[in-house]
Amino acid sequence: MAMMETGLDPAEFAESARRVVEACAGKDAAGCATLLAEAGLLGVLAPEETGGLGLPLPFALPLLQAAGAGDLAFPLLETLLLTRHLADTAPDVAAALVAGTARGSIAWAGTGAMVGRAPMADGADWLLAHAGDGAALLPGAALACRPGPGIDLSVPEYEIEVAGATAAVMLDASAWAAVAEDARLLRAALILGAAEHCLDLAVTHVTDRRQFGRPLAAFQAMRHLLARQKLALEGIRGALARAVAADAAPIARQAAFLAAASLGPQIAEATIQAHGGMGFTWDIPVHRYLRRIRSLEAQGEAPRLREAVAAALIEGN
Amino acid sequence: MNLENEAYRRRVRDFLATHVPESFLADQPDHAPPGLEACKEWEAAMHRAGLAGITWPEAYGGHGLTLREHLIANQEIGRLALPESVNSIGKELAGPIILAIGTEEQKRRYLPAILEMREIWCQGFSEPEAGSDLAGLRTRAVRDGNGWRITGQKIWTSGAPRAQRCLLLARTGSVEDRHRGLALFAVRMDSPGLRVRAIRQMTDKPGFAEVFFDEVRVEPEDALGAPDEGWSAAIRVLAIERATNRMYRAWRFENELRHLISACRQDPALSALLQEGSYRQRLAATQVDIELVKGHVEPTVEALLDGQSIGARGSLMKLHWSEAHQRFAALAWEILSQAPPGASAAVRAAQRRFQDIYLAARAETIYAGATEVQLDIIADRVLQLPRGK
Repeated sequence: MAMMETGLDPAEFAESARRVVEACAGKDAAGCATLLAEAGLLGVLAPEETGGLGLPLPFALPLLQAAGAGDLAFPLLETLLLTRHLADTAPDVAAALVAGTARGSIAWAGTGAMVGRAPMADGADWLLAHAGDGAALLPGAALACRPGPGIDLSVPEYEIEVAGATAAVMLDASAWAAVAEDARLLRAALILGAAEHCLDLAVTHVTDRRQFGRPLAAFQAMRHLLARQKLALEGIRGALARAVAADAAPIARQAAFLAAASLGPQIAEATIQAHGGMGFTWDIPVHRYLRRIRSLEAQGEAPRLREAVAAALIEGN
Repeated sequence: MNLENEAYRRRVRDFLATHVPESFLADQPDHAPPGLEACKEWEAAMHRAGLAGITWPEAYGGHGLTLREHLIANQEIGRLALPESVNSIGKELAGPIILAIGTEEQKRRYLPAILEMREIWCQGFSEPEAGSDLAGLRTRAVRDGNGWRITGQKIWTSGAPRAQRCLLLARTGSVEDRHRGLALFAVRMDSPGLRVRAIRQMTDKPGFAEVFFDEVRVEPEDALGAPDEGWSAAIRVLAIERATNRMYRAWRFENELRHLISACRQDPALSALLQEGSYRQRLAATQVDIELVKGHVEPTVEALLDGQSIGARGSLMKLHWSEAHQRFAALAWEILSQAPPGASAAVRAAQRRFQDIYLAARAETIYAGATEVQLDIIADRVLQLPRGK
């Protein structure tokens, strides 16, 4: 990725993000928030007035890749977006999220009385939810929250009763659309990180595991299965790189998420296949990555975005 | 994209807009596929306008620019439904190999003739017993005074009947030497003892041929590189060519997708199909596939400009493009074949174009390294999976 005008290179954040994500293993959400905040990672996108670094969106991508690769049990995507998009309207909330002293989530589905697909919304201090044609920032303490039907174990989704809740701040339609658009790119980065880790696991397994007197990797069927996943992975990476270019067309940004949403699950599923029976066990963590990727695909409403791409292509709108 | 690049893009676009003969364009209703002479004239005109040999040195008829201009020109060429080059082997394979290993005299003799379309080249690599496995090729080159004599047979040689030169890979050692002892030659197609037999393709379009060599004399000035250098030079150049040749293909793919949509929208029955969710999802997936092809091409150009090695990027691009294009071609034909009887001229024209594209696409996962070979390359060189016991 090219150097940004800041003189910083997004890639420089990758290593520190990887270390912090590793340190977060086994911690609860509050513990993760503390560690991430101490490393300054929650303020990457937040303006300086809220204690952040005020960097452009591409700087968040290595963080989310690291979170995806390390199966981070924290709603990092939502937290980063809240710090970025609430900085003007609710700077105190943004500052508390940057400092790791408050936790937030975003409900990606539903509008009106019941919203859902809100990652780790239980115990969150703030919830951003679709309301009218914009969004409402709601204090979390007053909300009734219950586990949703989601498939993800690491960053589980919740459904929330929001009827009668009083909004602290409202975002208008264009502000909410901006949140959704940023979210698609960050999701692609999360999926890229998770899928890359899956492929690493698959390569390690087929290299170490021997059957019929040879490593599994010596069998052409296995070599071709994994070569296809490498192609898929580099497809996501290339699409994401194009999507964050300064002159990226809308379709380039949409394609990054759609590529991740269709190729990411394929990579995780192939990784389970490559592991054989072991891949189907609880203890081999591949299923956690598959669940995470599928959850991100759902949060981004891939079929609906694909329909929007079709509408632009066919009807020119 | 900086201002200088934008100015270059505008020049390319303006030239194409004012000079492309409309009948050349396969998405126009009065399209008539141009013949060989018309194609040669058009390609020579493109070269004079700076659109061929873009990165080649000016001393050899090139334009001395970078791969970035090459990419820009290809994007603009791809946006139009132009015919494929009749000399792509000359421009995208023989030329770069000659630039890499040719003598000064050879560069001056061969390269301008390629760009000016005076010499069309074909590629004599594959043989009946050496298709994907070129190391097994048997065509022999034996010393004959200061030159060489070639005996053997090549196959799948695209464009051989129209070519003036053949870029020939032949063996100077024994078959057991595998990759060693292979040499490259620039053989005149009118050489005594050389015979071409066209092979009828499944598309029924002019295409590949068998080429037979019976003691064909090759002069010393037509031997390329050292007798032992052929294979390594070919592999090195092929790795780059696989990533950079027909760089327009993502943008041509997009032109095809847009043509399909616009043709369908002119027909009530096909328009109704475009309202079906399953087709809409597949068409959107095609658009995403096209973005992914671009996502393989553009970093490759940046990497090469940056002096990085090309690695197996070409395999990734070729593999994704060929399979995505096949999926699209099947989808396009599936939709267009449902047009009711008595469809308009525009729909008929699209049916003709996409029938050709669908059939031709079957070759795309076979030529220039079959899918299975590309997967082997990715497994070997990118993933570096162990083969061992």
